[in-house]
Amino acid sequence: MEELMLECRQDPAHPGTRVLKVAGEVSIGVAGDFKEALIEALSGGNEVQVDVSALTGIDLTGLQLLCAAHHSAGTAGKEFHIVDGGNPTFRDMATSAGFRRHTGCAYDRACSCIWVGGDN
Amino acid sequence: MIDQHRQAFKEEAYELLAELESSLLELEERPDDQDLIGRVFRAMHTIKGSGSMFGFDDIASFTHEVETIFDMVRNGKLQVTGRLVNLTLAARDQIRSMLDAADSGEAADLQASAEIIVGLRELAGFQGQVAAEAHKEEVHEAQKDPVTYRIRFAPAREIFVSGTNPLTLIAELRELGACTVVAQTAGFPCLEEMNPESCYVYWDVILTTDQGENAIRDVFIFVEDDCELKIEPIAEHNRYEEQQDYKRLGEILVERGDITSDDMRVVLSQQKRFGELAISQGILHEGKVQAALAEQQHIKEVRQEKQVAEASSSIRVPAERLDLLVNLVGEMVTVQARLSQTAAQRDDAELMAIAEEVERLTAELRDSALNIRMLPIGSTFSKFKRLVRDLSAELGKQIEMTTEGAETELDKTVIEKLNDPLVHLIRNSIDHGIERPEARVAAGKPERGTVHLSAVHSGDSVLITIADDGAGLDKEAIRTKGIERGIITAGAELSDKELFNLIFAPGFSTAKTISSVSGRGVGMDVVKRAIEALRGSIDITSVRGEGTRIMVKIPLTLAIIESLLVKIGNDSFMMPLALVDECVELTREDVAAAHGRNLAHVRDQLVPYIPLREHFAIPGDPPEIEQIVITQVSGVRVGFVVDHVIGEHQTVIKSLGRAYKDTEGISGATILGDGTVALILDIPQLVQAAEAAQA
Repeated sequence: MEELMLECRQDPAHPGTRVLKVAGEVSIGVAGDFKEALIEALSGGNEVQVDVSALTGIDLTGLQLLCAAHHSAGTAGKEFHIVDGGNPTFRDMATSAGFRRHTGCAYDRACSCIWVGGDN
Repeated sequence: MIDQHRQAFKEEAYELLAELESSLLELEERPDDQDLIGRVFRAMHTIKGSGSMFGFDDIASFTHEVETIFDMVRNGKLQVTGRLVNLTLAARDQIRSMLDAADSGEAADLQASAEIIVGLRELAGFQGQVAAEAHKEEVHEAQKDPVTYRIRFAPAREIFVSGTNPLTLIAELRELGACTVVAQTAGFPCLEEMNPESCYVYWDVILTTDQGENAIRDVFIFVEDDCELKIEPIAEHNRYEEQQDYKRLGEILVERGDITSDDMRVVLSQQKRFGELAISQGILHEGKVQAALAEQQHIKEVRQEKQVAEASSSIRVPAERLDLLVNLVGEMVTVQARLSQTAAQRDDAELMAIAEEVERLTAELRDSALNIRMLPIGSTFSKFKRLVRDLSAELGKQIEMTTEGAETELDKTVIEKLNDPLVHLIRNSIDHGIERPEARVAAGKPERGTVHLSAVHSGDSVLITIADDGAGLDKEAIRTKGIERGIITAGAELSDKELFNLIFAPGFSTAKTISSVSGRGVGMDVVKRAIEALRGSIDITSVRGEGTRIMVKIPLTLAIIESLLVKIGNDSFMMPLALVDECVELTREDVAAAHGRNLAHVRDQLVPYIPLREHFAIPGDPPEIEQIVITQVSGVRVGFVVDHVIGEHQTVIKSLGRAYKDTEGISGATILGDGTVALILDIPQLVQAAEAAQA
């Protein structure tokens, strides 16, 4: 089990965009930390990118939090994206857990669902 | 938080291991029982799944190996043999020691794990081919037409706490056949409100499988109580032609995740035009829209039922909290007694009414609080099965253990304290009681000996019997030993009962050689003391050549007992009511007639008595007419002389504390209604002390 590493920084090219880099494994034991990191990232800018390209594992608690973060961002009028860099672990996990889909959920007004399609 | 989850996992794992052990032992007797094989497999599977989830990676990978073997057994590729059961039992012990090691931080014995795995693999390779041929045909017969099911799996919020990872269940579903999984995220709260350790998601799954609905239910068998599960067949593919256009619209939309079933309900109920339009243009028949609506309604109803199901589920509570509750209830009973007494003294009708109401409620509260701690004794019984199996193998005897009344409930603390004495008694039966197979055959008995363990409720006690069909106690050997040890005199006339009771004397052991199983001299006296510490009694009957029967009587609970309140001078004492036979009067004349011997005539029988005033050196003169409370301990009637008998009393037992730990004759204390302390008499010990003083 690789330890979870969370690093949040300002995107130098796009002011107001926070990038949360997630590396290692998100599991129930660290889900609380992950939630705090997401809340912090969302409070820091109008757009949040979660970079999961270096993720080595994510469980259901992690997937739920990503979904809820997107929901919260939408409610607050902020943008929320996931960049997976083609990370097969993340894609497999999201697919096998049944999160990947063709259109967004009922909250998804702006067609921004994080699970639709591939990399964005 | 993580520790809490790990703890929950460990508790669950210990339970599963206990279950695993009893399943394996049963499997040894009935190797073809598919149900048992399934149980073993699922126990392994759950340990593996939760183990890996909570970071017990070594346990998960080890268990995986065993699970793989049992998967082969389950599929008929491997047969259950004695060796397989042995190895699996060893594996079970190994998992247990790994769990223990996780606590102490020591590394588990990797060598042992490796040996078990090698053994299992050998077994699989060796036996695998034999059964494969036979299995082929069966598989062919079992092949059924595939059926498509719609499954809704909604785990309870707190499912992670019980150590279950819903994703492993989803993965298992995928193994059953072509599977489309859609996670439903519509009910998610916003991030701030989300508890990261709760499960909010639920799944709609469309699965096409030829394994049948039971195979699907099997996947969810351990979470049945922790989830909302709905499985319905939606298409049977041999009749697919006829149903080709049945429910297609809703099914595909949901299946592809283009629309959730909730969204569809909203669309169908609000935008009636959609349905109407479809019907008017001939795209849809009205009935199909109706069917879809009915389906939504159905799901809605099932969801409402979920609330009810959650409310009736069980929770896990640390034992300390229960103990605290029982303690508080104990205090409550004491205070209630004071209230009743005060109310009676004041002669105030209103206060009396309140006191009576409190009395009723307290009694109910007491009963239900004590009830929570009640556990079936069966878990202890199954532990003994393993003991019998291992010991008989070690001693080269063939012994079968049968049990009865495993569902009998006893207080948890009593069950825990009962374990060691019972282990000792069973060991004795196996080691000294049951003979070797040759000797049994020579005596005309079946080669296989039996140890029968039974538990039954009797009044406020539980009667536990350990009976074997072995050689029985050797009265002459006991007599010789008794004389040798100076416990009895050479010419003493003893009844069978008295003779058998000798084996409870300290340092008494008739075994000629000391084996590793029993006979180290710490013997039955320790057992007897342990049983008496539980305020129980122990009794032996035995017939030479036919067997021995040991009966242990134990009170249901250790917290509160019914007792008889008596007075000597100004001091109050309690005598456990279960031991009291009757009360008779003792006059000065009676005492004089006995000529200084402490014997009373009760219905033409002589009953020895102990004058407690003398025994406890209580100053003052006894009243004209004293009372003898006659008790019965191990079949012997002994009286206790007191000044007055007050009556029955609900006694909340308080221990005396360390300073008085070794006080003889007193087993505890209680607080009376008026706030004074009454000592609880240790009747068996007083009797023993009096006997010793006489001898």
